[in-house]
Amino acid sequence: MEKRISVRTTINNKVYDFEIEPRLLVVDLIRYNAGLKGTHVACDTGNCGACTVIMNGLSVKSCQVLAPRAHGGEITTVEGLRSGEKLHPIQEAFWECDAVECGYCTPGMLMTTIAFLKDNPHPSEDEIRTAYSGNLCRCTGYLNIIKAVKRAAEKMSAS
Amino acid sequence: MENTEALRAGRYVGQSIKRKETYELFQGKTAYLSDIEVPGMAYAAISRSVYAHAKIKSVNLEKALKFPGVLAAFSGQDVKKLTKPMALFPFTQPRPYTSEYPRIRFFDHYCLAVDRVRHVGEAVAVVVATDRYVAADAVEEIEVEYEPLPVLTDVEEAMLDNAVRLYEDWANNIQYEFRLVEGPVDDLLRSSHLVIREKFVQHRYTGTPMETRGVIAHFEEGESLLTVWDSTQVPHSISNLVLDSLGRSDVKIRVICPAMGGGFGIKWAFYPEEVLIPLLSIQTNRPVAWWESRTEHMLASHHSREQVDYVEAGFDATGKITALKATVIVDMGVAYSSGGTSLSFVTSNYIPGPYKIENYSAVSYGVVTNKTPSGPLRANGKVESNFIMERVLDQAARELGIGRDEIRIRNFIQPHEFPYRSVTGSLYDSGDYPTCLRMALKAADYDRLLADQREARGNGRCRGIGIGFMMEPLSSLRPNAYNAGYETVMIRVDTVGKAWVFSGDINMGQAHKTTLSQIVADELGIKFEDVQVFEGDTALCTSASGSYASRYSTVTASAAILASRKIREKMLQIAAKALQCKPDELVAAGGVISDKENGARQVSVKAVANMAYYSINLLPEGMEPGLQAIHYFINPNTSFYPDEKGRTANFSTFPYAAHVAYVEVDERTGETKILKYLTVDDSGNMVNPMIIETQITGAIAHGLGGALLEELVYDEQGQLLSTNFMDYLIPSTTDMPEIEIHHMITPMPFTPGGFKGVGEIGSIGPPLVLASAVEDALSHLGIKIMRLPLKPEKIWREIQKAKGAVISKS
Repeated sequence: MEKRISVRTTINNKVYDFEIEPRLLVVDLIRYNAGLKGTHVACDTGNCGACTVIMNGLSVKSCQVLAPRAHGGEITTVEGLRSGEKLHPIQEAFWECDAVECGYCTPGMLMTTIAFLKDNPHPSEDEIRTAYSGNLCRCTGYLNIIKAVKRAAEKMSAS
Repeated sequence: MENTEALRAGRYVGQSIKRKETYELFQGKTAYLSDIEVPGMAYAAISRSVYAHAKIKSVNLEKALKFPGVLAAFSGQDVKKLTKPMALFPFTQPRPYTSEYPRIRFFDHYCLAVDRVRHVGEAVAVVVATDRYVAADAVEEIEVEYEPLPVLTDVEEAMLDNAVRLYEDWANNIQYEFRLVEGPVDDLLRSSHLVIREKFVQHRYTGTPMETRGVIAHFEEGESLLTVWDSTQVPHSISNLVLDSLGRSDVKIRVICPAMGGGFGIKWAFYPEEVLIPLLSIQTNRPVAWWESRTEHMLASHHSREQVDYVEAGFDATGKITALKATVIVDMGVAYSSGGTSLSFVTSNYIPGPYKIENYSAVSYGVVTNKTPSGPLRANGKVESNFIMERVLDQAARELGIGRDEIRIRNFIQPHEFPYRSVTGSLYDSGDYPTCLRMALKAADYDRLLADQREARGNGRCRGIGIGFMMEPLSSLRPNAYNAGYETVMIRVDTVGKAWVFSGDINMGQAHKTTLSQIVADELGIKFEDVQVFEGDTALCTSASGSYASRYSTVTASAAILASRKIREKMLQIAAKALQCKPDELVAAGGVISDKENGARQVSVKAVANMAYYSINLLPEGMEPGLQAIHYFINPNTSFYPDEKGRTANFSTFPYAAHVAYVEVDERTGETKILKYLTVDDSGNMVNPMIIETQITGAIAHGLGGALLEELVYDEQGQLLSTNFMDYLIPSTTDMPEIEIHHMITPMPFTPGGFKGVGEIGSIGPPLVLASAVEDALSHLGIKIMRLPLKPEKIWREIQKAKGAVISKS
C-alpha cells in the first residue's frame, strides 16, 4: 500500500479533507471518499465520458485524473447541478426531450453540457455533435440528447 | 413531480408523458449496482485466462493470500468442492424438448475453470479484499500455470469431424442441432426459373451496455438469508439458479436488481460470477461486491450474432419464391450453459419472415469454438434472419429485372391472410406489410431519390438507395424453462386509494414505471401520479420470466391490465352499494367513481378504499376486505410443444417495419455516409409514443453500430483484439444520422391492450438496409454485400478488387 497524502478539495461548494493514496482516481475520490455516486464509470479508458465532472471550470473525464490533481481545486458533480426548488434548465431540457433511457451516461452528458454551453451559449447542431462525440450513450441514439442541448441553450439564454 | 392534470382529457395510454423514473436520475440520486454500499462490504477481483485454450497445470494462491488486506482466495479446485456445477439456463433440465429436434448438449462447468480454460477471459481464480484497489493488486499475485492447447476460432473448421474437441466427452463440437423440412424443397429448387445461392458471413458483435455487469452478495447466517444485488434481466431465474448451483437448499435467496444501466440481452444469462460472488459472501461471512471493468466486460460477457449461413432460394419468372433452403452455422464460442442456442433456433426459424413461403427446409447448428460464449443481443436471431432474406430478395430482383419494392410486395403475406400460420409453425398475429412498405417509399419520396441518384451518377458520385423490410417475432415461451413465458403483476390499492404495482418484469431503460403507471391509472380510473411501480426484487414481486424479447408490451402490460380490472370490479361493487346502484352503471376516472350517464352520484376511490380496509361494515355482504389482485399472463398465440410436423410456435406477436436509407459511398476511401434514413413501424397500439420513438431511434443506433463500426476481432491464437471502446467502436453523436420515424397501427389481437413490443425491431434494419444501399451505390462495379460491417477499409478493398477485375477483363 502506498503512503497516504492529504488532499483538500471543494466538491459542490463543500470543502473536503481527504487522506488518500496518491494513485486514487478523481472519480473514485468523488464516489467513495466523498460518497457522491451520481458520477459513473463505464469504460476506464476515457472514451465514454460517463465520469465527466466540472473541475476548475473545465469538463474533465474524472477516471483519467489522479486525485492529488484535485488538491486546492473545485469540482462540480451532477449532485451539484440543482439549486433551489427547480431542476437546472439542462436537467429540465433532458427530461422534456426524453434524452435518456437507462440513464447511466446521463450525469456525464449533463456535466458536459454545463461546460459546453458556458463556452458556446448558442451552438449549431454540428458543434453539438462534435462536442459530444466523447460522451457515449448506448440507449438513445443521441438525437434527443442533441435536441436537449439545443433546448437547454434556449432556456439558459432566455433566463 | 410534474402535474399531468392537463392530460386528464382522455386516457393516459397513448399520451407522450415524460418519464417519471428519471427525475431523481437527473440529479445523480439513482442507485445502480456499483452505487450500492452494504456495511462491511469487501471486494472481489477475478483472475482470468490469458489463453484461449489451455490445461490448467496449477493455481498458486499463496502470495495473494499473504497480500495485506486480502480476506480469501479461491481456485477452480476449491469451488468444485464447495458448489455444484452451474445450473442450466434457460432450461430447467438437459432435455427440455421431447421432439427429435432441437438437440442440445450441455457441459458441466463450475463458476471458476477447474482444469481447462476454453476462452480468453474465462474466470480461473478469485481474491476477496477489504478494498477495490487492494483486490486489483492482489489478483496479480495469483500464479496460474497453463499448458496451451490447439485453438479453434473458425466455426466451419470447428465443425469438422477431425477438429480438436473442446469437450472430451462430446463426439464433435456441435452443441446444438435443429432440422426442419416442409415441402419438396429440393425438387422445387431444381425446377425453379431462378435460384439464388449465397453464403453470408455475419460478424460477431455485442451490446456493451454502459453499465457493465456486477453482483453484490450478502449472506446473513442467522436467517440463512442470501441477498444478491445483480444487474440482470432475469432476477427471478437467477434466484433459483444460484441456489441450485450452490447446492444450498437450506438457504433463502432474494435477488434485487437495482436501476440498470442497459442490458440489450447481454444481461439475459446466467454468468459464473452470479454463483461465485454469493459463494464468497457465504465463505467470508461478509458482503462481497464485484463489477466488471470494461475490458472484463468485453472478454467475459457474452457476444452475439456470429454465424455463417448458406442459402438457396428459388424464384419463378414473376419473382415469387418457390422454395427456400438454409444452413445456419452459429459460432457459439464456449459452450456455457447459458442460452446461446437461441440464436441458431431463431435465425433458422424466421428466415422466411414476412413472406409467403410454403416450402422451406433448414438445418441449424450451434458450434463451439475458443471464444467468449455467445448469447442474445437486441433482436437476437432476427437481425440475422431478416438480413439473409432481404439480401436474397435484392439479388433476385436484380437478376429478374424487377423493382426491389415490387419483389417484396409480390411475396408478402397479404393483410387478409392474418392470423397466418407460417411455414415454421408460428401464427403471425396481424399486419399489413404492403401498406407499410408503400408508406416508407412514399415518405422517402422514392422517385425523387431515384432521380437524385441518377444525377449523382452523372457527376461521378456513388449514391445508393436501400430498401428493407423486417418482421420480428416477439415475446417468447419455452417448455421446461426458467423463462417459461409468462409475466405477473400484483396490484394493491392501499387505504388511501393509491395503487402499488409489483411487476416481475425489470426495467433496463424502457421506462416501465411510466408506462405501467399509464396503463394502471387508466384501468383503475385513478391519477397517473397515484401509481407507484416496483420491479426487480424477488422478495416483493411474484415469480416471472424477466425482460427480453420485447415482451413487456405483450405479457407484462396484459397482466397489469387484467389485475387492474379485477380490482376495478371490486371497487365498483363497493361503490355501487354505497351509491345504491348497480356496478355496471358506474365508471372510474381520475380517482372518482361516478354514474356513467350523468355523473350525478359520486364516490372517490379514496372513500372506496377506506371502506375496503376500515369501514368494512359497509362492504357488500360476504366480500373480503382489501383491494389487491394478481394476474399471471401467459404468452398468448403460442404452443409449448411442436406440432405433428415438428414446428413450434413459441412467439406471440410479430411487429414489422420498413426502412429506407439513402447513402453516398466515397469510391476513393470506401466510406459510407448516410444521407437519409427513415422507418415506418407497426408495433400495434402505443402506450407512450415519445418513449417508443426514443426506443426506435436507440435501436436503430444499435443496428448502425453493427452495420458500420462494431466488430469483435479475434486473432489466430484466440486473443480478443477489441477489448475497450478504443478498439471496439460504438456509434457516437457524429455517426448518427437524422432518423425519420413514421407509424402505422394494426393492434395485436390476442392481448387486452393490443400492444406488440418495440424495443428491438429498429436494430434489425440498418444492417440489411445499409447493405442494400451500399450495394446499390456500387452496382456499377457489381459489388455484392454479403458480409458486414461496412467499414471503409473493407468496402475500399471490394472496390479495388472489382476495379481490378474490370481491368483484367478488358
